[in-house]
Amino acid sequence: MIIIRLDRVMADRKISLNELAEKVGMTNVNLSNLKTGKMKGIRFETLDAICKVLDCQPGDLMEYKS
Amino acid sequence: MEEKVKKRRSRIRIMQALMFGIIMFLFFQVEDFVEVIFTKGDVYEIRREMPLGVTNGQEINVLYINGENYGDADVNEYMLLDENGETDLKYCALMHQAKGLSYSILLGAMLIVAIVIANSAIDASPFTHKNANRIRLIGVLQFALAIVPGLVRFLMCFFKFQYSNAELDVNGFYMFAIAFAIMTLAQVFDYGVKLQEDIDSIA
Repeated sequence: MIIIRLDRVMADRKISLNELAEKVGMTNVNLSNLKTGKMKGIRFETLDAICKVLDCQPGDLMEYKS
Repeated sequence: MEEKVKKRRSRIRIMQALMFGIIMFLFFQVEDFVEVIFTKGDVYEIRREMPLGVTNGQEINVLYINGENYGDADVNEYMLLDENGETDLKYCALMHQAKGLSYSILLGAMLIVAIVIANSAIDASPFTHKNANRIRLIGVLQFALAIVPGLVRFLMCFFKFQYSNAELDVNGFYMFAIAFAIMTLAQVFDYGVKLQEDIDSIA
């Protein structure tokens, strides 16, 4: 199971949901759904934008747990 | 951005105007029907006349109500006889109006549902469960359009004249085919909804 750790990285970078959504070019609703693991997938384009804004690696944003 | 909002508002206004036009049309159809109910039977008259511009002696039946020409009268619609061998022109006119009214109501309902679908798709994806059900509803109304007006006329004729006839012609089959096509489209829309949900669940 893939667990999204976006909330941790957001807290480390001290960035709010609204601010991140605006910088990434997503709606608050979609970003919130992504953060809470309700999304089934993520586009590379979106992943690229989030990593750029948060200055992190894709691996920092998700974790696999069996 | 402002232009987009203006465009959206103008599209909504056009659709609201169309809906209003359909409702007013239906209102006038109902008004005509009610008018026939309250008109006395002796003001109805069928006259044999030569159409304007015709010189070969061809004559047609024309319906007159209160001395006013109301158009051609189909002999199969207006020359029905009851058990006493008498015709009732007012009832024949009522049957004709009832058939027309049922056509109008069903067609109007179909158009209104289509406008609601178009309206919902202005700023959002049209692939929703509600729209799929609305398309299914249009299909059902189309089936009804193939059956109900004829049935109304059939039953009214049978009730008064103890005789009635009905025929399933090419138009009837055509309407059934259209209804079937619309129901198939509703199934395609159901799949579209699934695809939309899949896309929406990807960030």
